[in-house]
Amino acid sequence: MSAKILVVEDEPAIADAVGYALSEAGYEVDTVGDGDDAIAAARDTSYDLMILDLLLPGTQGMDVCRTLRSESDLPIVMLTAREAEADRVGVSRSARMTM
Amino acid sequence: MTVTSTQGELLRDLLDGSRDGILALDENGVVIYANDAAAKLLERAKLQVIGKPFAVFLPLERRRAFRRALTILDPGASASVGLRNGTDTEDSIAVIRRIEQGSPPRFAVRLAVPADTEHVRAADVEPPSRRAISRELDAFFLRFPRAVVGIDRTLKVVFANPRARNILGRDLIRIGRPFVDGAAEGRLRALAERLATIAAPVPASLVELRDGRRLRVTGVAASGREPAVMLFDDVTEEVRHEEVTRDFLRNAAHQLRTPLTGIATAVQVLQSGAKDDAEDRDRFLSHIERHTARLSRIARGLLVLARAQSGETVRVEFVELEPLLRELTSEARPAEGVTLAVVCEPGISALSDRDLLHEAIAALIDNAVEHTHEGRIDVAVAEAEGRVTVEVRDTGPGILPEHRDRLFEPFYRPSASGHGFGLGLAIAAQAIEAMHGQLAVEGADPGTRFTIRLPSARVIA
Repeated sequence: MSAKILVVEDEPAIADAVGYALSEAGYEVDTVGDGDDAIAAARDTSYDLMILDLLLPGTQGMDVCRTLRSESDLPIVMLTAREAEADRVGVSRSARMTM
Repeated sequence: MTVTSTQGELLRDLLDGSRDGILALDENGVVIYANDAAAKLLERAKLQVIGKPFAVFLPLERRRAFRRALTILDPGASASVGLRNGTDTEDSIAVIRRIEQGSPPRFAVRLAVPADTEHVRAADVEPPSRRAISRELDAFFLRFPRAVVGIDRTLKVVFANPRARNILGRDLIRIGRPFVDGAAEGRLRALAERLATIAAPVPASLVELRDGRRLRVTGVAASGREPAVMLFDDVTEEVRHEEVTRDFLRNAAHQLRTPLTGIATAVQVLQSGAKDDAEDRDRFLSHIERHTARLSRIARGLLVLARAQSGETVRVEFVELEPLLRELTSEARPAEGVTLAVVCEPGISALSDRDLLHEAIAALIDNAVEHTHEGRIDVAVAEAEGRVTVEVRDTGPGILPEHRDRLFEPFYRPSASGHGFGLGLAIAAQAIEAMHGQLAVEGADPGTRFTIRLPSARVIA
């Protein structure tokens, strides 16, 4: 059985491209476009990995990460256009992980 | 050397009239004569100079050199000793000469006249001119376009010009009182301490006051009895403008990068195999098409903004509003169930630039469409007292007060949601300003109301 990945990305072109590439690589992929749907999907389905955009409509990526981190061990990979040091520190603190 | 009484008086007159400070010392270096200029240069009364060892008027570091000169100088030879710490200059040395023969005095000392003392002496001779200079300096000081405060070594204010009092307030700057007394504005006081008590220079510094204003502070350190001088400017607006520009560039880069990333990933996926499947290929090509259109809209928006900001003369004409609004609302695509209505009597015209007015109203309608998911969007035109108002009101979620001040900044987006890129309202604001109109925003409970005010055609007719 292939691993299941949840892609959280509000920009359809990027969600489509990431989803396509992962599917081609043999993973099972679900895609959602906002933070609230991401939390609901993660609670509903047992995923092996989440790929999470930082800037989302509604609940922001950082808050999604914080919420899920408090209730599960789901590995989360942040997908973002932000490169600033402050963002990296913010993410690693939120996720309690070393980047 | 024998001097007759008459010659002695003549010599004394000559010495007293000299601009240079002249002193005579005995074998031990004690002053037995000083002329007026010497007393003045040493900043003492003549009686406080005579009878004192000359060494006491020198800095500690110079006294050893002076005493050595007394012991080693041959008759007729001379040596010079600095009157101040640091580098010696022509106007800050004492030249000591051992007198060749005869009874005391054994040494003659000449103090060079500092260059700026020349002016003081000239002014002494001509008091009216001195007052005139002083008046001019006072006037200049009062009108000087920077805030200036003089601070003595005990941190008391010794002078301040009106601009300084305007910026810091009369409570913080009072002549004779400590500079910014108390715990308030600690950073400013720390700079003052450095200048006035440590007498150290300070680099140009940016200081944020407790009320949020920013001051750029420089200063001249205290020197001898001269107070420190602190100069400052209120650069709050300048700093804010720099921040807005920085945000603009960062946001512009981010907004350009989103479609570029979309295009780049689509191309990458196509090249990695999606191009071989007709359905996948068309889907990713449509992504590229959509993002290219987005880039094009951003570029167009930036050009409109640049035109509105350029200050170039706007092409003002009578623009009839009813057909313009009909055109704009027919292009709008409000969410399902949202009513878009226009109330505008035919014949009302605004004195404006057709293109800029088009862009401004289009931006307000687009903004309302984007944020209104239920209810109504009403566009209403009214004319009164020579002004025409165009109101765009929606029943969307409204704008939080903390976002209102920055709403018209280019690329400012209160949240990441929505598909706009934060240029529309900036364009609207700049376009209306370029036409000398006003754009206001207020809460409409529910929703938001934007109001454009422009001169109406009737004023001109």
